[in-house]
Amino acid sequence: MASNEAVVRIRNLVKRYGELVAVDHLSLDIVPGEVFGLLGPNGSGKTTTINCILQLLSYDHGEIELFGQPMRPTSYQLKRRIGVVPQEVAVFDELTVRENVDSFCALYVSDRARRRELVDAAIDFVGLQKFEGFRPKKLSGGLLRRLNIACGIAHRPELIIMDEPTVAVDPQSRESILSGIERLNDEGATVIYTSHYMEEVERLCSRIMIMDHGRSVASGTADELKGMIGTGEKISVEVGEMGDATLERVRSLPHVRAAEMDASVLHVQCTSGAHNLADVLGVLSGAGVSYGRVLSEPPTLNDVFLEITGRALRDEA
Amino acid sequence: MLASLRNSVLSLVRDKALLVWVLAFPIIMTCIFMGMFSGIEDAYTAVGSTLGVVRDESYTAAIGLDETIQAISDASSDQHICDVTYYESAAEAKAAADAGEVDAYLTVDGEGTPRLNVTHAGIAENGSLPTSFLVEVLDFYLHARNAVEKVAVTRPELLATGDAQSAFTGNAVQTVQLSATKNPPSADARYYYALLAMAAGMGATAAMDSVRRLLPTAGPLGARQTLAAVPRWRMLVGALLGAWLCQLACLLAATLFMWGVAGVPFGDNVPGVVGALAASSLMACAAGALCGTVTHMETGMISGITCLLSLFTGLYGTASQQLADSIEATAPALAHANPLWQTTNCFYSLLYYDTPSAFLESFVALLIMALVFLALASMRMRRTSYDHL
Repeated sequence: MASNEAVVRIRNLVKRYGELVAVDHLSLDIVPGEVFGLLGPNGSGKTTTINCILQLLSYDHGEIELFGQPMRPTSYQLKRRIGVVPQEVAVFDELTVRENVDSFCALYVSDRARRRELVDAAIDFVGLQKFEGFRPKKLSGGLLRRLNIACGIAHRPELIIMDEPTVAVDPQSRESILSGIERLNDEGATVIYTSHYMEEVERLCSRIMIMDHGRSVASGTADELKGMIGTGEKISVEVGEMGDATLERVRSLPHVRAAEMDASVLHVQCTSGAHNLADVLGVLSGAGVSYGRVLSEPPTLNDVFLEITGRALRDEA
Repeated sequence: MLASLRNSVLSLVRDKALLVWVLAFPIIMTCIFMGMFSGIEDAYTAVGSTLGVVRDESYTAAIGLDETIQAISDASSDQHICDVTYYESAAEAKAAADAGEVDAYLTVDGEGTPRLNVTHAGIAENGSLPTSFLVEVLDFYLHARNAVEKVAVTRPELLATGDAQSAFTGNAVQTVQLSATKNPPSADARYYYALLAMAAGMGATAAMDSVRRLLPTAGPLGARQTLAAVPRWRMLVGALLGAWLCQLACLLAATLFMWGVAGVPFGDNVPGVVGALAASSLMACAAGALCGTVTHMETGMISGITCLLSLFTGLYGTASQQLADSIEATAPALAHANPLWQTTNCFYSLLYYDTPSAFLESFVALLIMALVFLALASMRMRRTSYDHL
């Protein structure tokens, strides 16, 4: 495989469940060394896409290549280069932490001495040295998640697919997991990362694809995505007495999308514009409204996500 | 495959379900059976009788009668069939019989004819079996004495020597121990064999669990293992092999306990016993593998099926044994289709048959069943993928 050749290459992937089109002519390329974020509301087709990549699911149309080779259910040499961290913790309840990691590593590495080194490294990597002899039932949620990760990466895969690995873990464990993913990436692994936590995706991913209704609706870096939407910064200003006329003047500013008073705080949602904060403060000064603390937040990936996929609640598909 | 085997063994040993059903269950039931069947051998053993003998002048005058009685009451003799107590009068003997001290008493009338007197108390206590032996002995004695008397009239010279006379009386009692089976019959062995068969059947749950955790339809663990860089059949073979070895080890331990502690006879063909256990556990594992491919099959269902099949092996008592026997007599194919019956029959054949043919029939039947179950299981597994979730 050439160094710039796509690790994952999908062309026109279609997967149907009866009448429902779960993945609709999806194409994507993931290049070596990147952390690729796959975002989308529930039922958008993320997990189906991943399952198709892994050949857990058959598909109706399209091509999937990994490392430049067509992926088949019996592509064992390709599978050896892939590690998966599923959303649900999938380990053997009867085996200890070490036995679990060894067991999954053995699915890819038959040499026992080599496996011992890899298992040691994986346990060190997720910081479970003190818990090697524990069975999963004795582990907390965060430790279980770390074990789940260790089982997926022990054989040193080149492509790691992580499906919401930080669900239901405390902030400390989450930080540990995220920094671990960054280290894996630093060591050369390509990562496909799905999550509903936008700040995680923004921190980790070099490129992001947002899926909805089985289709890719936006892709690019976090900044590129933010630039695709019209949403600008959110401005919050602590104000004293302010009349309705002043509020209307703020709303009538050219880049203001909405303005609301919440107790003594004025919240202004802007579209893209160069001087939004100065414009809002100018209106307040002109009206003789005194103001205190001022906060201006640039748009987040969450704003981008909601802008693109809408705010309506989604049912689990 | 080795990793899969090791996983299977470790998981089954730590899961406890296999140990409970295939090891602890037969051992606990064996202890219960030992208590329940502690007197069962006595019920199947002919009780030696006690005989009262009125030793008066008539008795003494009866030719050869005393020698006959002494012959059958000699405790050191192979012909010992009763213990004798002598009385001076018929009244004393009758009182002893009424009191249950003897099963019957012998008197001799004025013509020298012996008469066996059996009381109701004796029959009520031990049944008619013990005294029936005595009746036979006395019939033979009378027959021999008549023959001697006839010879004395027609050919008196033949009785000139004592040897000739003893030729008639010496064989007054002829007991021959006949053995219709290779080993002495054991009244309770059938229960233990059925118990082992049931334990083997219960072991199918182990294989079911081992196989199910490898199926992508069974949950995230199965799906994750489907992503392995080794063919699925190798993992399945490893898991099944692990389940089989665990089950065989448990059954061997249970059998050793039955043999060593409860004294259950298994005959002297040790490789045959091990072979029977191996075949029955293999059959159970194959059946478990098949059940594992059925999504909605629960462990409880296997237990239920095993309990039902055990009914036809005679595990649940006399009525169950009669039912099993009648099915075997009237519809042998139906009985033979029961894998637990085949397991029981393996042990039975090893214990009682001189030739290995009956054992081999059941052994091969179990292997064929295992192959059929495995073939069906592999067919179903090939069709089972994550798509079927």
